[in-house]
Order: sequence, then C-alpha cells, then structure tokens
Amino acid sequence: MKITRRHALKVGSIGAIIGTITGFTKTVFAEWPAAAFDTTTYDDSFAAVTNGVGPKEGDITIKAPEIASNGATVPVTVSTTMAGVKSISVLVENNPRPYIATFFINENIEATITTRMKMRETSNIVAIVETASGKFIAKQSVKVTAGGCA
Amino acid sequence: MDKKVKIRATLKDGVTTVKALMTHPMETGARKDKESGELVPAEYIQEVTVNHNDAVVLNANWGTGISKNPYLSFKIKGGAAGDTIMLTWKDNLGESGSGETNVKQK
Repeated sequence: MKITRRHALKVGSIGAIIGTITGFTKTVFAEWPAAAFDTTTYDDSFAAVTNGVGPKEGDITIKAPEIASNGATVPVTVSTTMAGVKSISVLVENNPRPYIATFFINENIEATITTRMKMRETSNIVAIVETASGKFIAKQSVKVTAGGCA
Repeated sequence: MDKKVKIRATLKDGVTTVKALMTHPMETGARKDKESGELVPAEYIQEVTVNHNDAVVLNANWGTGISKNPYLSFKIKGGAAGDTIMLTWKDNLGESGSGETNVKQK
C-alpha cells in the first residue's frame, strides 16, 4: 500500500490521541486500592484506610438521615471546617464490605462531599478525613428499616 | 461504549456547585438474580476524576458500597461562568463514561 501524506497524518494523529488518553489515565488515576476495598470486616477496612494510624476526633459533620427507609440509597454529606483537607473516606461499620469510598480533593474544593450509598442494616457511618496535620474521625448512626444489598 | 454523565455546575456567591449523576448498575457481585438464582457479576465504578478546565480538582476511589446510578455533589471555590467541568469514571470491567458542562452564573 502506498502511504500518502493524508494517510500518514491520519495515522499520526490517532497515535497522538491514544498517547494522550493513556498518558492522562496514568497521571490522573492513582492505583485503585483493591486490597482495601476487598476487606470484609470493619476492623480490617479501618486498618486499611488509616494505615494503622489512629485518627483523632475531628471537627467533621456527617449529614445523613436518622432513619433510612431504603438502605439501597442513603444520602450522605460529609463536611469539615478543618484546613488543608487532602482526602475524605467513608466507611459503614456493618456493611459486608465496610470501605465505601475515598475522595481526594485539593485546596480549590470545599471540604463537602455528597453522595448516595448502600447500607445493609442499621449501622454507624464513619468518616475519616486526612488533613495536612493528620487523620480525623467522626461517626454517625443511621437506622435502616429496609436494607440494600451492599 | 462511552456512557453519558448528567452534570450541572452553577456559580453563586463565588462558589461553583457541581452535581453529577452517572448511569451505572453498581453490581456488587453478591446479588442473586431473582429468576435464575445465579450471582450477578460485579460491575461497579472504581475511579472518578473531575477536571476544572485543565486541572484535576477531585479524584475518588469507589467500592461496591456506592448506590446504583451514583450521585456526586461538591463545591469548587471560585470558578467563572463558562469554565469547563468534566467528570470521567472507570469501572472494574474497564468501561468508562464521561460528562462535560459549562459553569452557569446563577
């Protein structure tokens, strides 16, 4: 096959696009911590999230319903007024896989995250906030009347 | 293959509020199909990234505990009308989705 200029340009640009996409994925996504998410007891999850460093009580607000009628979607807002927040992690003590999520934010984001999560049964929601000065923890109990498979 | 993300960003009093809704089953791998009685294979979003113009402002690692059709809301300090906000997700099967919006002044 004869390679024309148009053809060469086309192939070149596709290569460039692929390069950009893979480069983007590498820089943006940190390694997804499979081992931490696979933990099946709260103690293991807690250890995986905190790396064994015992968090202190912190100025963290967990906004969640006192009673959740549907455990499949429990709206939760975690916020803190502490400065220099690096990440916000959420755990549910009594879920079959207690580690729910971690959100990494920078100084341009207000330390307030809202999402919806699953809860198998009545449990404490645990928020662990990492700031420049260490790790902090807060808990909030939620009564679940109809569990969502988590 | 790329699945759309519904995303909105509104600027009010110097703060941009971003609200995003993803379409995803978020299967844990532990649920049984009601008819066949077989386990439904795990399919859930693992990584979420949000860009404000060219800068990454939020990264998230998710497990199976996030609800089906995940919702995420957060606030960006500052921002200007017309700024681009883009959310990208990637799941355990390697599928991905994204959504983009421009900040609107309220």
